[in-house]
Amino acid sequence: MWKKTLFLFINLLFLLAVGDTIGQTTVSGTITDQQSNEKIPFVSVVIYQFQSNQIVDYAQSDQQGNFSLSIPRKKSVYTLKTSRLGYQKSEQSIVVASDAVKQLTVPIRLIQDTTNLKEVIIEGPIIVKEDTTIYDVAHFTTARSKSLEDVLSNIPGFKISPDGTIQVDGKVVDKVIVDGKEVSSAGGGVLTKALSPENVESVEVRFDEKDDKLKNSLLDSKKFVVLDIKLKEDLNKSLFGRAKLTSGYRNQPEYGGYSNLFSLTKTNNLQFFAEHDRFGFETIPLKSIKNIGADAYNLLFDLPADFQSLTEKEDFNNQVFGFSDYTRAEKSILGISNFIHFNDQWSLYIGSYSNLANDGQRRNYQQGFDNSVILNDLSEQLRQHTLSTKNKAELRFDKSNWKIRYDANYSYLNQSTTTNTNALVSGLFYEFENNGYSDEFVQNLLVENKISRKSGVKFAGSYSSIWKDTEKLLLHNDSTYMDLFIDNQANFVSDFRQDIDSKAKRAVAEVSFYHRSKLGNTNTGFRYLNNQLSEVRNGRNNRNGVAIQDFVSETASPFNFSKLTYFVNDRISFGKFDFFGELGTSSIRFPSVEDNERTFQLEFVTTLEYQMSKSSSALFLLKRQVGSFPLRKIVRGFELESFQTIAIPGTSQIQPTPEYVAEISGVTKFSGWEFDPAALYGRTFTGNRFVANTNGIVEALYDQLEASYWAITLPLKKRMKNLPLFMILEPEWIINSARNISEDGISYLTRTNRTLLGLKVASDFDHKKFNFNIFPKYTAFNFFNGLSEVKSRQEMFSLNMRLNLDFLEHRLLLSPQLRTVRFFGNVRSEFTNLAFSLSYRIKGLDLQLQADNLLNNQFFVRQTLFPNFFISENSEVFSRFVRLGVEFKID
Amino acid sequence: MTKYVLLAYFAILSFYCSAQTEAIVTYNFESFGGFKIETTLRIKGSKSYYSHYQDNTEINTDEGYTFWHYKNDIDWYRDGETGEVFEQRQTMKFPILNAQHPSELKWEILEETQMIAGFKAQKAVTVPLKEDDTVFPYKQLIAWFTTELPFDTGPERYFGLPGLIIKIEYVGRKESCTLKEIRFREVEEWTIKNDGIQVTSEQLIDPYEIDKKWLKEQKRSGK
Repeated sequence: MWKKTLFLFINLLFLLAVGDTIGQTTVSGTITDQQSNEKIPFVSVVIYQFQSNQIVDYAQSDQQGNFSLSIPRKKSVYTLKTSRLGYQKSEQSIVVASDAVKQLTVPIRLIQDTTNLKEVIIEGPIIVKEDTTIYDVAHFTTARSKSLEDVLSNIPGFKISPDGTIQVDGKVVDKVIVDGKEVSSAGGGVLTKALSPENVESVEVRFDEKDDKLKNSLLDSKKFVVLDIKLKEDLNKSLFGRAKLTSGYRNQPEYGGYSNLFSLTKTNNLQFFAEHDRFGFETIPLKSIKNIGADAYNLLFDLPADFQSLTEKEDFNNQVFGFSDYTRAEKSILGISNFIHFNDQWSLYIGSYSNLANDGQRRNYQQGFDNSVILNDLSEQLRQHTLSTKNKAELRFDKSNWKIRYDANYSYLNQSTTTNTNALVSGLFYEFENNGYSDEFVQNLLVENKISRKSGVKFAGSYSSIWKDTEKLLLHNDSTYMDLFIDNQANFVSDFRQDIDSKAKRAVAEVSFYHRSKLGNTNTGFRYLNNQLSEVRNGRNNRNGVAIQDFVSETASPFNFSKLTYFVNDRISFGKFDFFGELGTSSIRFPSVEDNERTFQLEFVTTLEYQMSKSSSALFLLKRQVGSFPLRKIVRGFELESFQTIAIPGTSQIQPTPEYVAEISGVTKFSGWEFDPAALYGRTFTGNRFVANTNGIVEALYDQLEASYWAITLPLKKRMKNLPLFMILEPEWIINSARNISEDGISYLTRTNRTLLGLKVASDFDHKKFNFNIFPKYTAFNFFNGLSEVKSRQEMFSLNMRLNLDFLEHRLLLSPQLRTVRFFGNVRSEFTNLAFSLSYRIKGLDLQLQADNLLNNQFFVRQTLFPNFFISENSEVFSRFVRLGVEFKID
Repeated sequence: MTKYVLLAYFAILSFYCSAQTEAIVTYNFESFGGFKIETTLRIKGSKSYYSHYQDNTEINTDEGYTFWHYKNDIDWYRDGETGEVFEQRQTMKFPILNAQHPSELKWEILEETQMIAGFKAQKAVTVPLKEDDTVFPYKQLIAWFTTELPFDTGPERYFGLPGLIIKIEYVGRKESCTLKEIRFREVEEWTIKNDGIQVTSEQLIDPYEIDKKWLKEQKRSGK
């Protein structure tokens, strides 16, 4: 409509192009309601010089909706903007093509806005508008805040995960931008961890982003949450950042450094960071770099989450044991990216991130099979070397009705692990090496077209190729391994080697149609997935090169798994409820022992969200989806997994199986309390059958046994009104169980119940020179084994105390920290760690001194239950060290 | 039946739209010595009413200074259709005074912007009332307005910008008035207080310039 108006208007200008060349041109018109045609008074009408803040004239419409403005009578381009509460803002360009125009008439028709501002309340450092909340960064910055992420974690309602994921009032932030523009496509963590709070004025969280360009989809009506970092006006944006040099001593002198630079201009948004540290410190860890490689694929397709993800969460050990950093590995990272905004429509992102890590650990441990007999008493030394690189180029096109994204990703991973294990009593030794590298190339394409205001079409496609080469070596002197390690010439193999070459391809395509109606935003279409795997396993005697039959496989043709799903989903809001439901029926072809088979499966996802108020909401989720088919489980040939574990395929017919996930969570605030409970349940059929062999080898027979977990957390937060204290009470339960089948064919369950109760208390004295954090935590582990009916219990109490002392007007900061852990139950042990950090700011420099493990502890106790065996271990702790650093700003 | 539903719909809609031209705005007024009060601006269509009330206040600072702030009871009424601003003021020892301010206030709008209270605000400065602008209150005033809130009014006697004035600051004087809260709701009609001595705009701004003898006579005669 506005295009036609503009076209007619420009023609009118040419027709009117007569008269003199001096004086003023009057721009006038009447503003009416597009629906009712009624004239609208009190509309603010402002005419700007094109693409600038320069206001040429302005007026307010009168009772009859009329307005009149004056502009210089000359050839020029202007922007006419109108705004009035209750109506959508309008903006149009006015091209004055002749300097003879005296009078211009611009009729304006406004569309009513259903999402009006109700109120804006500014509560100190937090400003709450309808769908936007703005936080003043300076208010939440303390002398100890090194990064913007540190500041965000101080703001009530913010929750930051170790990988940099941000939640605000229970809503996950989908994108982090800077001054309204995208600076990185690698996730918000690389920005919030890198930016210094000194450079940031405020952060603005928009809970329902209106800018389609920023959203991942033009058609999906899901509320898209954006965190917009507003940099300080006086910051030199063409180059700013910080750098740090470090030197330390841990058995020998060690050196490192960190640098982080930004250069943000109108078109180029460059970020560079590099870090090397021998003590395990990482400013931007690799886990916070997202949306590259397989992650980029997940942006397009929401596939079922891996069941194991719960226990593999970065903070799992920290949460369970209150202690996660046993080791302090050598780590190096290098990242460079540029987000180029060519114009309003075209943009290009290029990013490259490389990582190098060397880790090592020693442990003494005891293994008990089926929770009854201590079978092995072992000592182990592990060394791990990892080199990885993730690279991405993404081209974007955005127009009012079009959204096109194409990205190409290349990832390389080279990892080698060496484990030296010695049986303490028998003198047996096992040296196991697992060396592998993988190349992964992923391409994604998204095309969306809005056909009309109510409907649109989408195509999403992805194609991946993954090449993996693995080399496994086992050197041992255990004669009981003779049953399995005999080569084809009947020689006992004590020096074993297996090479595994694997090639995988994955193609996914989705075509769907969106339609918006009274019934919500409906999306229906087809999704096609094809997974292909070719794998060759070659196990042999490393001394003479003779093959070992069981460890050899040669696939004649690749295995194929394909799934065609017809789906329909709907997203609708009614009152305070937001509902999303998807129903799909899948036709699945999968390989079996003899031939390909076909099956049908029903899949569904449903979420219901209840938004009680701005800061209180509840979510219910239920999901049934068919997990990715484990093609590796049908490849013939045994695979050596560790010095004592062998994976054996073909003992069970593998079929596509469903996964179930249910979640109930919420966040609410009442009388100064904040309560965000969550209960998560997952059930899957992906577990293997573990059988302990008499020769000490654990056979992992590829199977599809049931496994499930419950995770319940009830954190209660309170900021005291009369006392400067902040506390969090965290009761948690994590229960996971796995089914197993014994050698005799008896099916049984193993279960681990973890009960955790933590209390975090932090003081918040405004005018005092000290503050403290106290974190006591009690954890009880209960292990059950259905076969032996033996129960065992391990309890742990930990106390973490930290004192923050500020001197010389916050320039000198001292933080001593004491951490003590006591173990009771099956194993008794204790662990006390003393550490401190000192920071002194002088003339733009920040001098830092850190010392850790001052009591030089050696080991930390952990216990873990696997489906059929139990491990009680003493893990080596990093050794005592001191580290000195000097940090400075670059701008 | 359908007719009544439609009538009800339009009745609700018209109320809803009228509420979108009405608002109550609260500002934080800050002055030297850490003095701070809340002031209110009521907006109803093209009319607005700003009230500022402060009592006699003594502030003792930690550094040992004492600041006195005298009573000020001031109301400004603006009629957007006529462009007139009527002011009634009772301050310090002076009797209640009324004045009509010039209908047009001259602004120079600059390109400078900054975020204030979460809004993108643009800078504007008044063209000084007197040529000699070295003495308060004839000094320049800086107003920060936002087109995000399309009301052409603001605190005190300042208005006429293409958006609500969300902050004012006097050049060279440590006083400011900043947006604290805005609520969009129906605003009740107000009665204009007009029970003081009529003076000129300039006299009201600087009452020390008023002839004391004349003022006494006016006070005595009950005008």
